[in-house]
Amino acid sequence: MGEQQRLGQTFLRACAEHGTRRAVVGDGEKLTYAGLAERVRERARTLDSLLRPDEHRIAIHAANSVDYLVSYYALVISRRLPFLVDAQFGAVELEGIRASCGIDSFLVEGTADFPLPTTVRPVPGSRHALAAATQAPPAEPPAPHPDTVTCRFTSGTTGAPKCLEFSSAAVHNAARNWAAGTELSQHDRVLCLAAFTNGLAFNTSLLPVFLVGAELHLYRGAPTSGGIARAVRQSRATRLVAFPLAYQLLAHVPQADVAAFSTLTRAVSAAAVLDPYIGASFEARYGVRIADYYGIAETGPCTFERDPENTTSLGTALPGVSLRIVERPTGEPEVRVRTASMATGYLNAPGALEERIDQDGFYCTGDCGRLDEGRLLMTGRIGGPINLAGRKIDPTEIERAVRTLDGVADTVVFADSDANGGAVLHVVVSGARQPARAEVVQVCRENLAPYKVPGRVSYLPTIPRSATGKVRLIELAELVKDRSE
Amino acid sequence: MIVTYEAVEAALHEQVEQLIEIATGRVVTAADLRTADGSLDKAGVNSIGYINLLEALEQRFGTVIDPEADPQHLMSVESIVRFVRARAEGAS
Repeated sequence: MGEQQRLGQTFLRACAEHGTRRAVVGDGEKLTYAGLAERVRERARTLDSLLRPDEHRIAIHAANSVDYLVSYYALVISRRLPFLVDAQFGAVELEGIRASCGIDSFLVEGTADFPLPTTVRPVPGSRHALAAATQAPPAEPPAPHPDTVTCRFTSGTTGAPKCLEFSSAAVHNAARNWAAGTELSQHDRVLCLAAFTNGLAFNTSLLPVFLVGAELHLYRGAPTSGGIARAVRQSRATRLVAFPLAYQLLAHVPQADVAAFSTLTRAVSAAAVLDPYIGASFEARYGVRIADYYGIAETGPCTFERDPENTTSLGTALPGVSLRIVERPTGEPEVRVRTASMATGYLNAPGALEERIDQDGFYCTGDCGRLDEGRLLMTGRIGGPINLAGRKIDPTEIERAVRTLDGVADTVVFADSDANGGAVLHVVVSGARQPARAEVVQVCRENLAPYKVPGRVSYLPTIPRSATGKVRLIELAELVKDRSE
Repeated sequence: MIVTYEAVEAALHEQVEQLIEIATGRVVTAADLRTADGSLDKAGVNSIGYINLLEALEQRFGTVIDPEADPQHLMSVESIVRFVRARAEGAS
């Protein structure tokens, strides 16, 4: 059996097993497992009739919806390769993905805002349309590993987000181990606020919910405290999957609808550091501890805290996960992980993932931490991308965009703090001309995802760099303190 | 004391601009908003700032805002002023 068939069969087998149970609720629809499987098979037939046999690499560029789930599994069972693309990606990221990964078509929601030139075919019975790029395809697109069944993206430095390839076994293991390690059961109703493109949703919701016969409830709209409370009440959710920002709003809202959360037994957070004060406030208010687990795009979920009394760590290893701490030559204690859900490689950056895997098969995370009786505690990070509320951003993407402005010779982007203590991107420019903040914002808006648009813009005659060209960040931060536009 | 319609409108605009400043941690200023003709996108209000803004409006008016119902809704100072005015009139 081929790998695509294996994942498709896993999904369809789960649907058959849980037939009359409710599988998914969203967009005003409620589908049973049998209904979901039927919809998926029908969509697969529709896509097969619309796509040429050689149109294999299909990128889904859409927000979470029932349609998204249906299209994703339809692509899997029709043995095409789905690429899950952040719905916020802009022209540069999308063109980079198209060109570097050899995307044949995009499944999009509302073609009016899609920034690449395409020819569009509606997908009957769906809110999605197929948008085929009109640019010439790359001469020799990189060949995915034969076992690859799904591709997702993480931040990249070369103008295109790095494309992670996952095998059927990796996707299935991530889901199975998450379900087992967190005691997910068919009695659960999971309300997922994170986008399916993000590991937080992909690994906790997209497949594990269906494996155990639970219900998946989808959320659309802005995750305000009122909106979340309403959705929790309507869904009678037992499990909430959300980013730290959502928990921050829920913890701080003056008049909380606490009763709406009476069915909730677990709150799951990941992707960004959760302030312990927010965790404590949330628990005091709603009576539910936030499980802040550790997961990485390249490896899948790694830890989970099962002990409700322990509130300081990221928990112990999930099934199929090994953790160890290795002292780097520079002295930092680096967290290394080996999982049964590791990515196979980067499709558009061959060899780059392998470079980060040590001789024992452990991925070098770039995170610093320690293990205390098997519990993982994080202590810092060794360089790497900026984490802005759960989204990973490589500063060089923004620096490259800003450098296209007339008169800009040099740029640096770093993570700064706003007046509320939140993280904000700060770009420092130097050169013959000082561009207005509006110019910098505009060039980034036109080319990058909205979350990569810097909030702060500063100008310096020259950016302080060492003899080797490395930015002296401490000096830079001092120089631009209180002088951004 | 005479209070004109224009003065009330100008004060409302200023209040909304201040609300956006606070929601964005003072990263986006009233001057940025005016340079961007009141467009939140053009002024560089990011998704975190926008969620904070919606949260503030929801708390102030005790309602849940659904930006999906109208994607352009509440994406400019002017549309937020209209929202605030409508809520204030509804409450009176």
